[in-house]
Amino acid sequence: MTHLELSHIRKAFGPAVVVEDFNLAVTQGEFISFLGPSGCGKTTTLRMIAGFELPTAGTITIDSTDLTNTPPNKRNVGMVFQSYALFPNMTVAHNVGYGLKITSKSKTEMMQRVHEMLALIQMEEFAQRYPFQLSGGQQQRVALARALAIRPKLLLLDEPLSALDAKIRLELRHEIRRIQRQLGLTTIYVTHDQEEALSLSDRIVVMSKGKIEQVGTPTEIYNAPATEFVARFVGHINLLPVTVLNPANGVVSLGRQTLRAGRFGQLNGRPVQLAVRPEEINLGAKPDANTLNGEVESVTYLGSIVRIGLRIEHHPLSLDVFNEHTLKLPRISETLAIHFPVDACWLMEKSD
Amino acid sequence: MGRFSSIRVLLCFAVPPRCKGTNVAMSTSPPPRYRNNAWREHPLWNWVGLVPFFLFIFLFLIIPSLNLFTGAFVTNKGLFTLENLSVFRNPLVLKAYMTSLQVSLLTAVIGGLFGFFVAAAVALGHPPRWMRSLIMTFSGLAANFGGVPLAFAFIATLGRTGFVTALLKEVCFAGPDGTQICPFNPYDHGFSLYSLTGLVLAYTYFQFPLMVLTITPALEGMRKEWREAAANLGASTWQYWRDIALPVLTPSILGASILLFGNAFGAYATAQALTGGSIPLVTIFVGQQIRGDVLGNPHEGYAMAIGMVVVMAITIVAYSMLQRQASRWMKV
Repeated sequence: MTHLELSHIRKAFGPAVVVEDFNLAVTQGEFISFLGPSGCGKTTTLRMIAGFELPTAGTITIDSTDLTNTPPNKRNVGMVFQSYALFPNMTVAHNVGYGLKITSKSKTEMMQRVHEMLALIQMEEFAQRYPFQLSGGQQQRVALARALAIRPKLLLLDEPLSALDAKIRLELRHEIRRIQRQLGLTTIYVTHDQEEALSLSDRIVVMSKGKIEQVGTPTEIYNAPATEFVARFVGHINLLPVTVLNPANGVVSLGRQTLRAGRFGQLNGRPVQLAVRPEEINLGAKPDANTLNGEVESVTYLGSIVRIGLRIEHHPLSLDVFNEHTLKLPRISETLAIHFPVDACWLMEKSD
Repeated sequence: MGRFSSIRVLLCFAVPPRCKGTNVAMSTSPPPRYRNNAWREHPLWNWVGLVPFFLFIFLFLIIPSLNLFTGAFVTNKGLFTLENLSVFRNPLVLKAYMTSLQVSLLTAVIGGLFGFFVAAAVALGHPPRWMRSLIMTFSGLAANFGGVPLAFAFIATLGRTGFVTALLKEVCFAGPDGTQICPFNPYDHGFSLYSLTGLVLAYTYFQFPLMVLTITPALEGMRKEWREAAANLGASTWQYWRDIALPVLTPSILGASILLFGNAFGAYATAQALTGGSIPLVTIFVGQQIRGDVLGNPHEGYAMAIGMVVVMAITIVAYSMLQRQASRWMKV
């Protein structure tokens, strides 16, 4: 059943249109991420759901109630901000209990809920501290508890981890997902970090220039990107300009070398690219796979993997190999044979 | 370090007597690094930049204050006495203190409130940039526009023959009983620029811009996310101001208020030029005593000035206590 529905949302600031024809239906308990580069309209969309911005056109409904013009303090939507936004003059307990105080809950009920929330974020012993006495990660956990304390219909998170260091970010990411699953709360998460979106979400909405590029599960987004933008933005991808030799079976040529794509839809005569992820490419030649020869341009250590940069028919291509102890790395300028399975690559029309 | 050693060596060559006991050959060999730099790391060097400030304070605050203090306890002949303090038994002097306190409190409150609203409009109302610049520039100017020019400006506008008074005389107003009052002469309705009301009005002219200047940065420091987070938790605008904005701003408001109070309490020239000394203020009494005419007793003036210092000291102590209470969430 649809819990949140955004229908034909448009937002313009003067002549600048920042969100255009945004449509999305979210079911109860779903974890949705808005993913896209800065300025793509993801935060504006989130702020419209929270009520901080009014859509220029379109409707926002929660549980079939139209909330498009409802003020933010009447929506019962919890929000966690990038900069925590804890009230500096209140202790942790007062911050968490503030929403309950506003709704005139009894002191006993308020105390009980605050303890419950602090237990949820495992910060009971910090109840009497002020925000300035907490680390960034702790502050964000308190902000999460504060947003959850009012039992919101919907939880909105606006890049909540981007101000934190990598280790804390990873810890908190798991904690957010654990709490969200535990409470079965519908959650919208804004991020520009693809790894965060892929690891947390039930579905991802990839946005660019105010429009939705693709909505899908992390697997769909990564393995079957709908557009060149999604393919380039999510993960690393090789896009080789090829000439279609046989549209019926996906046979293409790259210079003098012939390849076959496992997936190819309807081709409309526009320039075509062969897409393949670096991790799908292996060293050496193989008879029943696409095999190419190229010159080694770079070898980059990335910890558990090594990224090898090649130039094939004047086009760059990179492949990832596991950094195993038996690995013999190629030398720069060495000619190297590589192969990738037919099923692991697809044809994609070049976007404008 | 090397630079200083080189200078020393050069001096040895240029001025031989300086080389007494100095082995030039040894000096030319590279000395251990930082050997002579210890003096530069002495904590006293951290204070060097503040020397002009301390000198200024010493010459124009400490010495005059000591002079004031000692002057309050000596006779014209320089003998120790407590007789000057008897000035505080004079009902006129006590009334002057009360009037000064009244004017200072009133103008601090009126100027503070008005200034706060103007500052809030500037900081939170998102006016065009040119408007913000205009208001801030005006505030900077008006906050320092006191004394005789201010008094003259008010006399020229709201004095008995001021142009605003003249204008008002041409305008008809509805009276309390519905009758038309035409022309309206404010001086026929209890207003006088040369009264306490007029003085408060004139003081407000430099008090509210001072509030605008001091409180605008604090208001601009209020984070938009606090307001949004409060709204998100169900708070109305009023609840946000009551529970978050005002408590956060309280230390700044207290600081600005004490500044406004002190600004009015110590003002002299505006009151003197506007009312000609007809309104009893402590500063006017002190001025009368130390002006040097035959009726004056500068030592009594010093005693009254000491009284002003005591009033300000009590105010500052009260302010510090309130400030500590209001800003406990900022303490490390």
